[in-house]
Amino acid sequence: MLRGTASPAELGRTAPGVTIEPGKTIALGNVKWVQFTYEVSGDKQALLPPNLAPTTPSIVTLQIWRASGGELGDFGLAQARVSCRAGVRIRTFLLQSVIDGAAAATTLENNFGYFGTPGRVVLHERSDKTTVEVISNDRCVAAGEISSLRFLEPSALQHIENMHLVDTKEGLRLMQVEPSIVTNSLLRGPGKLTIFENSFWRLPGRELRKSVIGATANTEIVLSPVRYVQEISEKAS
Amino acid sequence: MKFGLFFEISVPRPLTRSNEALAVANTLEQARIADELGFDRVWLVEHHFLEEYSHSSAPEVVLAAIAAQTKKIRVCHGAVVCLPKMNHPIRVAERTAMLDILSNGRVELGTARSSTWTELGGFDLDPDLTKAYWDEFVHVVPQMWTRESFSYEGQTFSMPERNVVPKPYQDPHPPMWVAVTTPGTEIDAARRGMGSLGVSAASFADQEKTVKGYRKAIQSCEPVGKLVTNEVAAMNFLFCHEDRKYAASKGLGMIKTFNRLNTGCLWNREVYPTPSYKTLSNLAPSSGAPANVPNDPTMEKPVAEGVTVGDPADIIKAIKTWETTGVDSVNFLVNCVEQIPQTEVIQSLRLFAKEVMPAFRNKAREAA
Repeated sequence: MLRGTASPAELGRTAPGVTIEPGKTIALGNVKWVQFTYEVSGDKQALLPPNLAPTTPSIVTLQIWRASGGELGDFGLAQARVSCRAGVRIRTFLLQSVIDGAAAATTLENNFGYFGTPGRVVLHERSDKTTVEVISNDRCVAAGEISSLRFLEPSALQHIENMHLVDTKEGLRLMQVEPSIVTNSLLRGPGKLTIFENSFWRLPGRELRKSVIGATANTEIVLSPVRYVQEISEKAS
Repeated sequence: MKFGLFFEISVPRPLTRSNEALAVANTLEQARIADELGFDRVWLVEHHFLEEYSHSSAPEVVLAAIAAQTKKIRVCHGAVVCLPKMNHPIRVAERTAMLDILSNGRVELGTARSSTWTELGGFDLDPDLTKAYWDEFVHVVPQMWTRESFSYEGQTFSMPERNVVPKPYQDPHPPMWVAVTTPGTEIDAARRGMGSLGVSAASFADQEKTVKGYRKAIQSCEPVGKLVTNEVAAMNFLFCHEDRKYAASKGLGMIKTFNRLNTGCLWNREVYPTPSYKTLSNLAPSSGAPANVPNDPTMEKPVAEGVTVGDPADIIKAIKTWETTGVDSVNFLVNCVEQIPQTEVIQSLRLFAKEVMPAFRNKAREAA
């Protein structure tokens, strides 16, 4: 069975510093949720640390949140994740994130290991399509749209927990982040990213190949307390 | 109770040509010995692109070889993925009929619609449409087998009037099955007069519920063909050894590996929001586990209850419990990525045939 081959030390150089507070829960309020899903080219093992196993094919998702009315106020988050397995569990591994909102960035980075890269996360809903734009350091690092939207029953959406590489006082760890998500409405349609700066999203030299699908949803999200933290393996077993 | 072998043709890494050839050769030998030992069926799955987990992308070819080297065992083509981009229904009717002739009427046809994005995406198929494809498919194939002149105008494919030849050896035609991974699919099978081919682990309680629902629904079925296959098959793992500790170490290791490889597949529902796939298929929480399964990423998937790994007495006990749930047959996975040496797999099959089968065969005879 294949394992990740990325160097933990290399990955760890940019890992967010995290203080794990037992029982820490954050209600994010109403979250407009948009996702682009693509098959990605290249060595599927090289994106993951040795604790995680790749899927065939590797899938990269760009997920956009615009939150309001929650404990962190109004903020935006854009995150790129790659599909993986932790043991026999379906998971994704966080590659990069941009957070639009300084207070939210600090809390999400320090408590849950999101990258607090500052930027703007813009989401527009129109009658026939939803568009997104992510801007960092005055340049657009991702933009896209989902069109021909079709309503689906909310249960058609499968949310997947995330693994974040974090720097704790005990050293580098893989932390499982478990957003508890209630989906109130769901639409699906072809998703197309017109701009995606691969290097920024930590996918240098790779291409987003086949667009799988796009989806957008109205959700309520609570970040549940951190329950599982793994020591990171030094090499693939 | 009938017994079968269920082959995925999993291949150990590195995925060399010699390792692929070894896995196929061992499959053929196991099928040949299963025939000699009195097993009832050999099933060969169809999967595409699922490296390591299953290299059985051309099962009809392997089944032809099995048919040629065996005498009695049923040669089960299943589950064939019933999506025209993968298998046109005319081609399935043709090749299944030919295989039935070659095997002197030993073919059974399993049908499925694929659960992974790895496969559907690879063939550029829309997950929303797979059930409609499958349904049309299972209705037309028996007609192609039995009618000298057949034409069709459908939603997913059409054909002008033709005689699809050859016709199967069996009259009216081979039995048909539906692969069941998602709860409720057994009812789809029953309503169409097809067998329920379990291909994922289930608890005793869930299996009993499945069988009850199936038996009730099949009473008022509208058969897709000219015969009704009223049978429920369960899937299990098999490693039989006189030393139960040794059996456990080998057998449970095989299950653990299988679960890990199975998990490596990319399931439709993970990437494509669709009402067409209600669960993560084989990855649906093990029904043998408590409902509040811990979400610990380091935990192994729990081993389902009733696994047929152990000494002959253990296995007889497990199968007798399966019998009480109402299943008619059990199909066994006997190895995974050649983890168990072939000689030990064969010894396990021989011991099962010698010590376990008689406990069920005699009962069948008494009942007869």
